Amino acid sequence: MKRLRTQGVTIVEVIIGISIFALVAIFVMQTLAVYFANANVTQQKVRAVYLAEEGQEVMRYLRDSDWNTFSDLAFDTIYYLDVATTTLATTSVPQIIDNTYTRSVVLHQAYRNSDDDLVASTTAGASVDSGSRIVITNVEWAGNTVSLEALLANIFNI
Amino acid sequence: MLYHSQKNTMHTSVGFTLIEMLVYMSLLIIISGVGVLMLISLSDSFQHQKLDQLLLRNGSVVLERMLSDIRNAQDVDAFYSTFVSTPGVLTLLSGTSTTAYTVSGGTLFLSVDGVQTQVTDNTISVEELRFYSYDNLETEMVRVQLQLSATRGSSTRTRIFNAGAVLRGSYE
Repeated sequence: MKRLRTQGVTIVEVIIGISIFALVAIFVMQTLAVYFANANVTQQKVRAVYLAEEGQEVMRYLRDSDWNTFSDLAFDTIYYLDVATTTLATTSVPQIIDNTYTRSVVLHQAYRNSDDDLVASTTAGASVDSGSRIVITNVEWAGNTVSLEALLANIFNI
Repeated sequence: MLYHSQKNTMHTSVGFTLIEMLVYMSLLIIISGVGVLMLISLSDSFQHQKLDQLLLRNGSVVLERMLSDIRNAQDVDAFYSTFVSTPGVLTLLSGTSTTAYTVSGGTLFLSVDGVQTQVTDNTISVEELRFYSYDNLETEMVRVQLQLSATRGSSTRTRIFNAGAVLRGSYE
């Protein structure tokens, strides 16, 4: 009789077994979910970098078009790029690309020291370089950002 | 008598009641159902991820090559190029060499001085390829919009790539 009682599985044992299995399964699934989410962000990031690179090239093209127009763009102000089929321009209206990305451009004043090296505006002896602009292109989507920075100088209308 | 009493005991304390059977069976059904669903969604996710990787690799290969060729070019041969519409054709001139990108049957081909090579994999389909050309008298710029898709079994993935570069050789 004693032997018979200990045979089989009680409901409590079954529930413990199932919960251990469920916990392991949940951990595995969560790890995989993080993996897939990261893979997706990588996908989006690669395309965002191409967009940012294109943004920098558009700014370079605008610099080449006419330095005076380019240098009239306000400092520390967010601009967007109006990319039409045959013309390129800056605009104050946000442009959404592929229903995902927002690309913006900000220009900063460039400062140089007596050795002509780029320095921060707060550095002692820093003077404004009116022939250069620090251009930053940001591509934003779903809480992520890709940012590229370049120095564009007046090389045509000197 | 002893045998009989043991048999009696077995009847009363061994085996499952109907309720117990129902509980165990429903648990088994729920667990196996959840397990099967998990496996199906996992295999879907892996399938998608594989296709995404394929698209990303092909897109990167195409764009890196194109951007490098555009940067190295001195001029765009507008006569032998098709802009805005898809599938576009881009013909670049650099020195005496001519580089052309064309799409045929969903595959992208690169031809350097008439020698043609395949750029995208056979498993990839070029859905759209548009070129845009810009000229401001000082410089020329070319933009590329590439839409790729890959299919395996019942799942299809599509990706749009945007890129562009100034022709470094076009500076006058």
